[in-house]
Formats: sequence, structure tokens, C-alpha cells
Amino acid sequence: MEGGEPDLAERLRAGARAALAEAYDLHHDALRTFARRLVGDPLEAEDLVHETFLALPRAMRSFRGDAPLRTFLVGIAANLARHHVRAASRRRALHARSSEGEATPVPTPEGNTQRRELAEALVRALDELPFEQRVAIVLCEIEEMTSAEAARITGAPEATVRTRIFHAKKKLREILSTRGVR
Amino acid sequence: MSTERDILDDAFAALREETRASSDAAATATRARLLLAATQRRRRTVLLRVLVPIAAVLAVSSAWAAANGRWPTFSSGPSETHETTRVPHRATDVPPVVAPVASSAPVAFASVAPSVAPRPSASEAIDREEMLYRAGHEAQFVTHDFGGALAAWDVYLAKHPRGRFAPEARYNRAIALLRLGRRDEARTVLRPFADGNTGGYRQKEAKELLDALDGD
Repeated sequence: MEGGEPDLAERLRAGARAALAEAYDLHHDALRTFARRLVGDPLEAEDLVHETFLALPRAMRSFRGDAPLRTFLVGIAANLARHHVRAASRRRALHARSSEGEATPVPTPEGNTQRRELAEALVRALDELPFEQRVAIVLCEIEEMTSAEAARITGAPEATVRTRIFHAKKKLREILSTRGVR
Repeated sequence: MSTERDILDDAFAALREETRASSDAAATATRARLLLAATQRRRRTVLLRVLVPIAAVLAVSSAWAAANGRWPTFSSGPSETHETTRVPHRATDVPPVVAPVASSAPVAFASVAPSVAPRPSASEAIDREEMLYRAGHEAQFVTHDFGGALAAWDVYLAKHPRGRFAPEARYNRAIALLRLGRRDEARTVLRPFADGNTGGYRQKEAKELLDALDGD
């Protein structure tokens, strides 16, 4: 709906409630997916989605239309995500501590279980990264954006984004290896 | 034998796939919550846009009057009323209600923007809790989106398991489950109400519902 985006952008700037509903209907799915990947907790991710769209009308003052609205939304979410990531990370750490010593079931050979466990292991490893590296990894390696797109979203130079990814991947490999993830 | 690089790529792919599915119910609940919050924010903005100029005019008038010794008199008596200090202020345009009406006919509750406290608190945490509750209420009793309502009650109860509206949220959740045809789950949720574990709240209704369910 590229042709309609300038009109939607104007209506969002004007604070039209219907425009906010329309923006939500168009982009909530993609934003929710990004939020879940970044935060690693569905409840906190849902709060982040809510907060992002709530911030959208005011944020539209700086929207120039040189990138899709969806990209702009991801940028807002990335900026707002810090305390959600922190809250989710604390919850995971607490859960991990309270689960220590509990017998864990032997994983079944089912692909979904292995995939879920690997995803969970990665989310816990992402908790060890500085926030900026986490964002860079999620944008480039999981959302599969280019470093140029990630740079535009984060407001950092492209070289900085690539450096963050380099250091983040190195650290993630070490963490996964230490934890015996195969 | 996987290399370390493969493990990382596999992990990225795993997280990508695990987070791909979206929850329609959660999306609906968040949409309701968002539009409600946007409406409330707009009301506050409009209120401020009206009050701030009034306050400014009154402040300037008072200062001018004080400087010129010309306080306005609004009565013929010697005592003057400083009308300028009485700036009309309402934190909300919603009539106060002491407790939310958690029933299938929430006319008093839904006929106005829901308010569940005698005077809204300035605390952001309380506002957020209230908004979460309202999202569920709107989904269940206004738009009759029981899937969305269920998701909203789950969100509220996950965040506020012992919140101010937790009993109401749990009961409403049971009703939503019933409406979705999830009878066994509804029974489980209704049982504590029927047993009087919620201080008698909705005990009679829960017993009647369980009797009806058991009779089917």
C-alpha cells in the first residue's frame, strides 16, 4: 500500500485515531514478530508493540517518508525496547535460578522441540550481550536486514553496525559453546 | 558434525521460526488497549489545551490586578472571592464507580468509558493496570471478541496476578472460555468461585454455571 502511505502518514501526524488503527492493522504482525525476536518474551513483546504504536503519532514528526513506515516502526520499537529486554532478561534469569536442580525431561527427537530449545538457548545467550549488539544481531541475522537498513533503523553508522555484529557473533559462539549447545 | 558457525546459523534460524507465528487473540487485545489509551491521551491533551490558556489568562489578570490594586469583586460584601484561584479541574470526565461490574450485562460499566476507581490515581502503574483491565472488558462486553478478551485477561493476570481486579478478571476469563466452547477449562476456573474461595464473589453465579455445565 505504498501509494497510501503518505496519506496515512499525514493522518497519523494529525493524530487521527482511525489512522492509528489502520497503521496497527497493517504493521502489527511484522512488528510483533520483531518484538518477540528482540525481547524473547511474548508478554513483554506485546507491551512493546503497544508502546510503539502509542508513540507513533508523536514520532511521526520526524518521519520523512524516505523509508517505509514499517521500518520506521521497527526503529521506534528498537529505541523503546531497552527496559522490556531488561525485564524479560531478569525474568529468565530468575526462572533459570529457580529451576536449578529440577529434573529436566529428556528432549524428544522431534524437530520442533530441538528448534525451540535452540531458540531458547540463543535468547539466553542474547541476554549476555550489550543492548546495541543484541539489536544489531536481531536486525541483521534474524530479521535478515542489511547492515545499511539496520544502520538507518538504529541511527548508527553502517560500519558500527557491522562491528557490533562481529563482536556479538563471537561472544554468542563462546556462550553457546560453553553451555554445550550443539 | 556441526561447526560452531553452523550452530549459530541454526540458532538464528530456530529463533526466526519460533517467533514467526502470531497470536490473533493477543493482537486483538493489544489493538483494543492501544485505541483506548490513544482516546484517553487525546482527551487529556484537549483538556490541557483548554485549561492551560485559561490558567495563563487568569494568572496574567491576577498579576495585573495585583499590580494595579484592582481585584475584581464578585459580591457586594466586603469579603472578596478570589475566583481566579478556582481553576476548574477534572481529572476525568467519567463518573466514578467503586468497582468494576464484571457481569454479562455491564450497562453501568460500558455505557461510559470505564472507570473503576473513585478518583483516578496519578500513578502510572495504576493507570497501566486499569488500561489492561479495560482492554479485556472492551473486548468481552463491547466488541464481544471472546478470543481477544481471553488473551487480554491472560495478559492482565500475568502482569497483575494479585491486582485490584484479579477476581473480576478471572471470573470474566471463565465466561470467555465458556463462550469459546472451552467448557472443561471454564469449569476449572469457576470451581474456586463456586467453593467460596474468592470471598463469596460470584459464588452463586459460578455454582449455577457449574450445575448447568454438569447437567449437559
